[in-house]
Amino acid sequence: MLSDSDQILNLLYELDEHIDKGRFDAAAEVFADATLSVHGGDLTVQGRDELAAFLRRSIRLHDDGTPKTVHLTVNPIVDVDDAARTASAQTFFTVFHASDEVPLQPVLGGANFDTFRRTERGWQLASRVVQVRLMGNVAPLVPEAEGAR
Amino acid sequence: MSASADEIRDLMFEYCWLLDRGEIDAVGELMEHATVYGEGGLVLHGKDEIAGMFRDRAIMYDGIPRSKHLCTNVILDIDEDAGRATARSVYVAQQEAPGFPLQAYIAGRYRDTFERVDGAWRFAERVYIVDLLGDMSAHHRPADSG
Repeated sequence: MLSDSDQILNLLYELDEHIDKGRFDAAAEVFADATLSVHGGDLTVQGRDELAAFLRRSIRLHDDGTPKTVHLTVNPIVDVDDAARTASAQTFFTVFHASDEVPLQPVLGGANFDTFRRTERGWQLASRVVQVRLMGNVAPLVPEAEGAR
Repeated sequence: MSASADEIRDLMFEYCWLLDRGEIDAVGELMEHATVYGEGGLVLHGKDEIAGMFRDRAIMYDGIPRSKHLCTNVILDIDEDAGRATARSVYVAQQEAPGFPLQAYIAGRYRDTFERVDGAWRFAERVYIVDLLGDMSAHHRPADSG
């Protein structure tokens, strides 16, 4: 049996994996009823349907049906409250990208501040606050209409 | 308890440490009982074939590849009763070498299977998946064939 921390980290890494593979509906299933917001911004996304729609309009899919990204999530600090059946995690993320447009490079870096609740089906994401800290060449990541100059 | 999870992650990270230190024989020993699958239908089994592949392909600078493998996002699924486990992870390998400024040269995924034999976990399978390819010229001599 995996520890609570490892179950929570599995969930975060599965979310990254689905996005890297362009599986936005599957990512939305992991996201479940959670709330996504951007640190210092107005954007709030609530629940799987809004998340799937948000991913579709925010991330460009290349010819192979993926964003051509590899998300690295590192430096996890996980804090589990057994009695309350809640948990929190903070992680750093770096997104690498390569395509015909740009050679392999990091294009985005930041932090995720997540909370979780334990349900009958295991740990579920409850909220995510994304803090973008390092901005590279994200033009190949966003849909062409928005990436065009 | 998650002793198995820690043991399995240690094996995955040990692979990176050994490879980046140029300890190719030790990489072979770490994967002594494993079958590895690579791009283009590559299948290797056991320490001699696995170490041989790195010896043939990796460019060394005074005995080291001047690479650093970052391996993270380890998604674990452990069957304690059966003594089998799988791990999916991502890697980015970075390198700095003479005339080659620090940069990432490859990124992808490992699909691993582990088995517990006599109480100890070991590699049973590793599938190398390349997602993003950078400039491999300072790292890698291309294979002659699949």
